[in-house]
Amino acid sequence: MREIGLLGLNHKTAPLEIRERLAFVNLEELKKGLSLLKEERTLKEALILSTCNRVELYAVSPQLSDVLLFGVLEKLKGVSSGDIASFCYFKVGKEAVRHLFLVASSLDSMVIGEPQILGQLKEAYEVALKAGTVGFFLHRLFQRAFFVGKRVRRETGIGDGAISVSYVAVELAKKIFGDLENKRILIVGAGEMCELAARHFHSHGVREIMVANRTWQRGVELASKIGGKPIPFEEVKERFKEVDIILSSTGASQPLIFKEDVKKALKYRKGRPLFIIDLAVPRDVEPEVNQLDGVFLYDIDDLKQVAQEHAINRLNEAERARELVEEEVGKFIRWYRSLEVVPTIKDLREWAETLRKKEMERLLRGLSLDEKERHKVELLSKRLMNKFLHPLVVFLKAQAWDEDSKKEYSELIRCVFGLEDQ
Amino acid sequence: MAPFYLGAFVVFLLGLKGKRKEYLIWAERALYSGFFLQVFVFFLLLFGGKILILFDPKKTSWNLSLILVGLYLFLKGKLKLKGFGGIIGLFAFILTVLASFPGSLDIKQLALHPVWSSLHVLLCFIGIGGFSLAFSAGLIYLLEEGKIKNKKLGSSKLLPSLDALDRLNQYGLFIGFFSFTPGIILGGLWALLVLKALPLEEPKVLFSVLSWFYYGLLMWGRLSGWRGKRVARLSVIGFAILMVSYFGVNFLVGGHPSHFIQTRLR
Repeated sequence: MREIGLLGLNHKTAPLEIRERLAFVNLEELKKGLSLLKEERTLKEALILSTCNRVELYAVSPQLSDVLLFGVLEKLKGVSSGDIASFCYFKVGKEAVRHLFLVASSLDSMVIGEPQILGQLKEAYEVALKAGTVGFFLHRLFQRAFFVGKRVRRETGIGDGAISVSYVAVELAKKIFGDLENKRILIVGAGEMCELAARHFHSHGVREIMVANRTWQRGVELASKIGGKPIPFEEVKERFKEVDIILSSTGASQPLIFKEDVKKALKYRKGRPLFIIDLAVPRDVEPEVNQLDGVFLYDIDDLKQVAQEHAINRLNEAERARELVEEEVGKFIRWYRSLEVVPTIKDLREWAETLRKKEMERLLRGLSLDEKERHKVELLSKRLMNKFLHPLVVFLKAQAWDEDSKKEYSELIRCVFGLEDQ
Repeated sequence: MAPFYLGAFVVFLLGLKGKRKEYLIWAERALYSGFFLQVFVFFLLLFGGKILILFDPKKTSWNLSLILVGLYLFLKGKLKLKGFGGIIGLFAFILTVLASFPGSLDIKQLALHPVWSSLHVLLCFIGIGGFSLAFSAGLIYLLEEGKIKNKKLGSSKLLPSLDALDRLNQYGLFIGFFSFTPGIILGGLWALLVLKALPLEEPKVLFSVLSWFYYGLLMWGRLSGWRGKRVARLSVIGFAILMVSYFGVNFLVGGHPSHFIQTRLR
């Protein structure tokens, strides 16, 4: 297992200026780096993962060491190991596997549970595969990492719940409306908060965005930035009948939207829900609005509270996610160790096959069988051979996870069946 | 299949309590298992020549559970309904358990006009299946709506959106109404054919007609744009009326309308 390892740095170990120096900024640079790695005789396999938060070099080599990988990195990026050593981590064997699985599960990310990292890992793998630097071990290791990443997301709530106020607003809207594609949103105010939240809604494909601001020009500017339509501020209350979401964040010192205004609009809405997001301090919407049927009012504190709950939930889920990762690391190690008994199993099979063929020849010389009968006897001998070998193979594989037993039993089987001479 | 349906509901509850979304996936799987087992039993009865047992009024709930789960699984993908199966599991469980009470059908009655009666029963079953779906969606809608309004989202995050529940309610109502209506008409025609009159004094018939009017009104509302909490509330009330007309009357007064027809003919 000591031949698999990685050298890397990330947002926790290195400042931005160091990460910048080692980052592979585009695909061309990455491809160039991989082609250099391919020429590196000491490496059997290699892969580079470069994102804005981390740069990691995964390698398989019989002579794997930190010195070797620092040397490779020096060749790739022209930085001396002395400059970066204190920011880097070097992990081998089980530690390297665990690290990759944690990365794939986004447990090592800046924002725990963020979904991008799995895509970035897949991209790094695809590029390395095309460059021809991925072989048997890294292929298996990364495929497993993708599986672990997906499993963790599927079986834990690590990626559930937005943790920024504007995303919480979008998520709540989705909880109410499902798909946002056919929804209409009315933005009241043209401040920064409104712009940020409106952008999130825009990226989720709302059908129509209307912007109303006291200063017409600023409203027009915001509308053009987010692909919306400016409307006169005086028309705001008229629009309550038709919109699905109202997002308000003005600098007004008194509420602008009253229960009575919304109540009037509800008559025309026939039970269609209305989601009002009040991001202003002091509030733009009278709190009593939330008492109306089919109206959901969330102010900035409500949204912050939901975001906090999500953050706590993600941390709790991270514990469970780590348990899953540990389970998967164990499985991978068992698989890897089982490979070490493969030569013995292969030799054993070859020995048995030679014996079978020899005995078959001897038998068939003394018998006059037609093609069909010969085939049947051949099949019988193969089946018998497999049945005899099966318990031995299963036993050897079962011993593979323990270093001492694996060695001891492999040697015993080699000795008993005379496999050493092969 | 009842243990599967109950299992689906229990696992669903555990999932909600512990906010474990994988439990909700297992609940769906348990529901699938129960459904396929029930379909298997249905075909066993069908090919074993015991199909008429399924028309026994005291076995109505067995058919209903099959139709309810079937309709839900049919609409699940279309409406992106994640994690709702556990609720359906609860209803399916109750219905299958109700079916285990001893039946009382004189099979000869159904042989009177087999095509008419079978179609009438089948369409009514599908209708009630649709209304049950509308009811479950409405019930969860009301609970979830309350949680969102009071800013106590908790485990409701694992359940479908209000919009998905509203659409499930809509589909349930449409399927229910457009199956129940011809079912009721066929029943009426059947009665007219045999008795030359509608047995409106029969409680079950009366309640069925009342239910039909109620759902007709609800359908009119839906078609004229009603949605959300209002429809959810009305669906829950509608289902209560329907339950009185079917199970209440079945257990209190007893019998399928065909009993009544048989009695009149004597």
